Amino acid sequence: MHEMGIACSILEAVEKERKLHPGCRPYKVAVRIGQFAGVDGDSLQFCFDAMVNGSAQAPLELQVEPALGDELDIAWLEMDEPEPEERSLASVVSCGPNRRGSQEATR
Amino acid sequence: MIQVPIERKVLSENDRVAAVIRSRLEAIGTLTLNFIGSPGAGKTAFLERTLQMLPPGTKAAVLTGDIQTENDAIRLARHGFPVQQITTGGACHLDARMVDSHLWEWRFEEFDYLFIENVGNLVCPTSYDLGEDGKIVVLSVAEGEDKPMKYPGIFRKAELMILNKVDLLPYVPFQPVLACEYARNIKPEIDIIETSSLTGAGFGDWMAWLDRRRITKHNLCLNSPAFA
Ligand SMILES: Nc1nc2c(ncn2[C@@H]2O[C@H](COP(=O)(O)OP(=O)(O)OP(=O)(O)O)[C@@H](O)[C@H]2O)c(=O)[nH]1
Ligand SMILES: [Mg+2]
Repeated sequence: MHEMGIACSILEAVEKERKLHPGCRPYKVAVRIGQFAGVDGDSLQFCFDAMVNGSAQAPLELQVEPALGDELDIAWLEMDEPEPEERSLASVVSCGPNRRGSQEATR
Repeated sequence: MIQVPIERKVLSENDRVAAVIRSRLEAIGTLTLNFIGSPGAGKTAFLERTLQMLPPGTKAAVLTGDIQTENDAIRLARHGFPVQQITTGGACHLDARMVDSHLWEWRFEEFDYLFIENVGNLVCPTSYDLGEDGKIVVLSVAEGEDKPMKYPGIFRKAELMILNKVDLLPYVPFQPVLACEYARNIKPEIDIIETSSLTGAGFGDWMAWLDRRRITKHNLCLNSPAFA
């Protein structure tokens, strides 16, 4: 039950971020869950997948990372950049590495 | 592919609303306590007796959360204080938005205390800040001594543990000393008061704790910029 609400909050955050990066497509989001956060990682994964499957946000993967204390944070979001022609259509400034708060993935 | 660092609390929206509630309550000096415990731990009975024992002239209000029914609000309202029921319709916890949408009909400048009884659950309510000054965990002796170890999250966040239903100790195999030890293993500085809402045992200590807490809060508020 509770994990459903947490999944909802994560999806809202992803949606907010997507709007900040027009043309980009989120496909993986990472959350850090502390041992005392009162949130079960497996259960959250299940709820998250159940909500995403068949929705406009699919495919979107959740990566759960263990943490200390009661941390319950969204760590990062991975997004596909638009194809060059889409990019010019969307917005030139959309999601390049120079955007504030963005960085190229290191992997 | 790009990776955008977000580094934001999952419940940042809840926390934002909670911060607004907290600063409004801060400005008027109302001590707000969030009671969390398993279903049937005795939260409502405890609050009922608390309301009965408040010194004459004390201004208090109660918000009580349940998945269904107005039963707790009906019980609490018998004691002559303003009470509102929040029925969550399925959610296993209260969140700051629910509290926010029920609070402001009251004239808060008049209140010394706001008591919030959370939905019966030792896990989920722990994650949600409601803008309270402190969390109080209610554990009853019929639940077993090991609950602090099994549900460490709430015992870590609570400033006070109410060990309730001590009138049942002759009938249930429960060692209060062990329960207290487990709770202090999780949080060494947690306050603990043993009570019975049935007999009133321990309520002298509890009412004194409450009064001290109110005075501490009041003094803090006097020194805060909102009062300047
Ligand atoms: N013997 C004894 N029974 C108690 C005590 N406190 C509560 N009870 C009983 O325990 C049961 C549950 O009490 P409630 O006050 O409804 O518990 P609650 O925590 O508010 O329950 P929910 O709101 O449903 O989560 C009732 O039958 C109460 O009469 C106590 O100190 N001693
Ligand atoms: Mg109750």
